[in-house]
Amino acid sequence: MSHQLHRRQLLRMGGVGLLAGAFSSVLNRTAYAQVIGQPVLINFRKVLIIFQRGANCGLNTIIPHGNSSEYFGYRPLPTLSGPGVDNIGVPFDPAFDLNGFASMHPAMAPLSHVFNQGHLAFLHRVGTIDYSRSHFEAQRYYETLSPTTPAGSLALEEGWVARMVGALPTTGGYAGVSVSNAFQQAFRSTDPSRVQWHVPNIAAYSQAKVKGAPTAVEAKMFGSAGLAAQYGGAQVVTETSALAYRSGVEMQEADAALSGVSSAQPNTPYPATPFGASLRDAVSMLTQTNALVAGVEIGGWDTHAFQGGVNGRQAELLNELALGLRAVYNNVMAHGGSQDLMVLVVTEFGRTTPQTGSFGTDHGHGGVAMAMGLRVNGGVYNCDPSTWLPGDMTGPDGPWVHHRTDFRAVFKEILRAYYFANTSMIDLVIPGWSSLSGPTFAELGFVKP
Amino acid sequence: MSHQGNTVRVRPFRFPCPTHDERRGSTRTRRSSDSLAAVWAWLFAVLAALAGPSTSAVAAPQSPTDDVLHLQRRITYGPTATESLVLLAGYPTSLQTFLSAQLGPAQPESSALQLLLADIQPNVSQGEVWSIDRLGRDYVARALYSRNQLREWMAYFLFSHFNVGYGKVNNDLEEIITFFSLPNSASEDATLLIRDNLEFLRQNAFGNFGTLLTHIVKSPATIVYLDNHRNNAALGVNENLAREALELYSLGLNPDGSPNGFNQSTDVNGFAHVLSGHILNLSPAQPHWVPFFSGLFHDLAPYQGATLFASSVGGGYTIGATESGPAVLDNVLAHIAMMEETARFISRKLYRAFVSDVATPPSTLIDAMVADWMASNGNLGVVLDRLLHDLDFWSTSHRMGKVKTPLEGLVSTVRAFDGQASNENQLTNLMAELSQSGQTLFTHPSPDGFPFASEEHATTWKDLRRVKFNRSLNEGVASQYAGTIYYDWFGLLNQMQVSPSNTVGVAQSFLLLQYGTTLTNTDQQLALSFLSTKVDGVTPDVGLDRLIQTGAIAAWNDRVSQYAAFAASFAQSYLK
Repeated sequence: MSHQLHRRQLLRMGGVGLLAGAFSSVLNRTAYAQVIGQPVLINFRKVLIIFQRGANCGLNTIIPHGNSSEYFGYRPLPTLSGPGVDNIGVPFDPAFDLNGFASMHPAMAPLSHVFNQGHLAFLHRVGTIDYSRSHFEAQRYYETLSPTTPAGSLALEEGWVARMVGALPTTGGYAGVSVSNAFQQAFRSTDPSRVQWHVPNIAAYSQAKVKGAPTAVEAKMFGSAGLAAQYGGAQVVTETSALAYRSGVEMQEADAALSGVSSAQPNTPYPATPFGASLRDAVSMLTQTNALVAGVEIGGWDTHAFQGGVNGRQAELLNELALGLRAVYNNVMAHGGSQDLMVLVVTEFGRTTPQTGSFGTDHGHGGVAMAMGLRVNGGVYNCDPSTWLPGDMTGPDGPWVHHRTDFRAVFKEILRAYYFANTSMIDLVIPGWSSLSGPTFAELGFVKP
Repeated sequence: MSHQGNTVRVRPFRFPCPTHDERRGSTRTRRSSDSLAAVWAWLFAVLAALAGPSTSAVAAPQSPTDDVLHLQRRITYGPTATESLVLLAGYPTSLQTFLSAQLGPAQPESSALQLLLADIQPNVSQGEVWSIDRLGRDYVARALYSRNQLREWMAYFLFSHFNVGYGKVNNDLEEIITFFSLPNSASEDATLLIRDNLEFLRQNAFGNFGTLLTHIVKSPATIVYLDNHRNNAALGVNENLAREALELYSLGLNPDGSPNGFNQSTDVNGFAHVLSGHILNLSPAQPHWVPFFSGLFHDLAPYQGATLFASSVGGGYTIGATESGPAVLDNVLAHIAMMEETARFISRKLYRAFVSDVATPPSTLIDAMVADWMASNGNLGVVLDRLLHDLDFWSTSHRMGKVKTPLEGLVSTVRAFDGQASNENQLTNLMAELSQSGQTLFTHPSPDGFPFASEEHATTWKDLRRVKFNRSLNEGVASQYAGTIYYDWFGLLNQMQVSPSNTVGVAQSFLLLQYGTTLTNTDQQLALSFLSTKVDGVTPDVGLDRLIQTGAIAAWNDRVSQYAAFAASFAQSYLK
């Protein structure tokens, strides 16, 4: 048995179990268990979620060239040779044709191989029911999977990851981890006894650890016998206080979970950017610890002006994203690698179809999501002659692509087909799911059974 | 002074309802050191009275100490020994005096802060210029030592409300500079534009909201950050500034996420037309970054005769049939600033910042704040005054109920022990720690601004950084290292009239400075045992009295530094 496996076993069986014991009186996992019965998630399967913050322009990511007359009507071809103050139309390039109708932005060339292997799915026209077209509202919907419906009811502020891993009795607090500078709402728990796992990157984490062995008194203060025993009991504390009181235990747990994780640069290097670094560390945590879901983010997609076409702002970001995804694929999945990692890329919404006067695009609605993994049915969804009809480049409510698939259907398919979640589990993670019906809530079929 | 009579208060503290004139005319209370000593002795009596055989948490009764610390925690960057002692000596009228002074006109800063700020200023003769890091040091110096604590706190809070992210401004200026081959430095100019906004908010922190809104929307930093310099109606409007000015700056969203008194399509688009043409002077001629109205970019024709914000409870703004030009923006912004929806949105945000992170604050208090807003032409000082005098603000149920931001956490620790920095290099470690904790000042990228909500700051990473920093007080022992802040433990104890030989006194006074009476007996025992035992936690250590008697001052200093780091590391230090 390898040392690593041994450590992992210890974490799952010992370290984390110990923690759960210390907090058992305040954990409300029991309540979850009553709601869902026996959880059926396959909890060695992992999800890495990448959030493109700022709203990526889906029409220039997966381009419906099958309807080029409309597309170039809204987005004319550039008139200059270089990037800059120019039109944003992306010319058709047969090298990036995906299905005879849709083509991939050339900056995503690093992903051609993954697509050809059948392990990459582009999910076009995915959107929320939110018509506010506000970044912050739409991002909140994606992270809580709980859009306000009907209007007036208070949304659940708890992140979907927190709700999902909270239902698992065996994974402990360290199951969902936000690998990002700012803590992501998807990982936020409203249960004050649950740790909010936030690790900007592994190197910084180990550097930040307090040096030297604690004195006996300090051990009491920080150790599970100290803070946890003092404050984890039945004693009534305000929610916020409880959040802070946990820190001693958190540090012990962080140390146990992360101390052995290698963040060495693998064969296919990740982009030398903050996004690349957090992606690398997220993959390390998912593959070397019992973390179940990790989230990273990449910003800069709010291209109100000078979006660029083949080259330019959006192209540079798409290339960074593609290089990162290719690194994950080559290092973890290729050549008979792990089947138990699914990468999901989402953005809060798409952008307006016509370019603005400042050669950019304003907030729109339906966008492009992506899924990558050996358990993914590769291909292009919602962007082919049978689903993309003339006129679909504008919607009933404005000059943007309407959504054809509700964003929750994407998450629901992952829960059902990848994790084998039962209905009550799905309803727990996606509040009100089983009361939703209609074609926009149908699964796309991008997860292999 | 009767000890027993003052130890337990059964009713929440309530200010006498002041008039504005009374508040403006008040001065700070001064007491002699004799009475300070008496107060301190009395405080120990309070602690002793609270101490009992129980090991569970003390359900702390409301005490003057906690009232004082609560006010300091919520309207300043944390209590200092000097200020706490003054406030305790004059309790309870001192609280009113202090609050009035904080809401009043800016007081001149201490000469020590002025010297520090002068050191932070770029030294032009050495080719130094303003940078965003330097602006961060300038702000942190004020957070640490300004006499105008609430004004400084509000300046940063309002800056975050009207957020401008340095990265985007820097990039866009760089593009323009390159395009026109200008000699400017983008990083310096971006910093100066951001500094202009911050300084305006500092000076008008208690002013009328309409003044702030108008100034910020038309400021070069905001125009560049939210793309309005490219808002050209002749080619098609750019909605970026219009949307964020309505959704984030003024009308806002309701707790359920629905727009508060505006329509997300027509009102945003209409307001974008109002904003069209409000660009910057981009010609190669100097000066480059001044607001400029371009009639060519402006087109209000599609909305002439239309009513913006028609769904507002107080009625919308109807654009005249021939109305057009730069003045329309002023009129519309003035209208927005006095819409009830704006008053309500900002009042809720202030409640969450000062009182509690609830989604829906109590409606009676919000209604009262909105009424004050309407009656005072949207005066933030008047609205804040209402909030900070309300029983809800003083309720014991909210005490220590908010998690500090990284900035608040670091600065409050330094303030609690009177940490001193006299040159900018001493701020180096503090600034690095702030960045590591995820709060590099003035660089928050997205327009929703740096978050103040507790749940954003209660994560594994931030807890770890806080403990790391608090324990680094220990490294400041000799205090001569570059990048560290100087702690004068003798001076601090002298100020509190605690003898450096008194181990128990040192132990308890350091806890009182930070936590008042909110620590459990177990925690207090833990602290005392840390200071009085060796590493094993059992063997008695050489007492502080013995170190003083034998003249082992360096060893005494080491021991007290270690203890301060320990005392600062209780989880309660994250809370305010």
